[in-house]
Amino acid sequence: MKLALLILLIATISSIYILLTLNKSLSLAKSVITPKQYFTNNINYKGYIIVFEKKMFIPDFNFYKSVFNFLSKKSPCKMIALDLSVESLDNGDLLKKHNIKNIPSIHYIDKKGNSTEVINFNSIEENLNVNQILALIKRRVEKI
Amino acid sequence: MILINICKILLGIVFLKSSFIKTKKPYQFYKALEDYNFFKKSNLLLVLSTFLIVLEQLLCIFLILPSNPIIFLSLGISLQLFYIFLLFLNLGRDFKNNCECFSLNAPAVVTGKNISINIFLLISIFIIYGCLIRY
Repeated sequence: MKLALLILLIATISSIYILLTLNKSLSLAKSVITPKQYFTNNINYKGYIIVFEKKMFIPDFNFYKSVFNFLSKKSPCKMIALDLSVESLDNGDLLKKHNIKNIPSIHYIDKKGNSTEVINFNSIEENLNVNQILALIKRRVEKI
Repeated sequence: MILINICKILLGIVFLKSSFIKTKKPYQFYKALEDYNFFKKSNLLLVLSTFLIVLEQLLCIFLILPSNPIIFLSLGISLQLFYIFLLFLNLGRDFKNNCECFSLNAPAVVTGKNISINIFLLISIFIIYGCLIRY
């Protein structure tokens, strides 16, 4: 009887945890914007932008979530997904406007609209874990 | 009897690994199920994906810990039959929103091999239950 109650308690806690995590993740996924939405709604935006390829968002979701949560504590942060499977002028405009040379990468946009590359994920060593990458981002953010 | 218990625990470890990945990546599991087109409404899908993960966690607990065999049998049958049905509905399809992290129950490309593995797990649950009842 005690074991049954304990297992029921574990199941309830686990359900609540998964539901909450899933809800947070869904709202985070909804906040991802396209370059077109970025140009429409973010005139004079100042803060970080995380630029990545749309098809890599789901496989690397947990990583982007950690990076987003970390950066949004410091300054406003936007996640921009580029769909490279279709030709779009907005993709090119975004890359040109903020001088983005690498995808995925993080850029900081200042008041004047000037962009500084914080980190380019392609240049990171493959054996680093999420915490080590976050520490690296923290060091680069402090330099800006 | 020791051999049956070892098999039971090994089966529990298979489900433990699978449920651990799903607990770690609930959003990816949600998106994989969304692609499978079983439930259209997002709220239902949210509840279903949570329920499936918890059910699998319970199944591995009941398989690893000594418990009444009827509990893991009923949990295992319901879970495996659902996945077999879901995979059968999507046989041969290729999914783009799949992170390829749930090869056991929600693969990116559904093949006969995936269904066979799930049927094998279902039969293993039956055999372990039968052995436990008999000895």
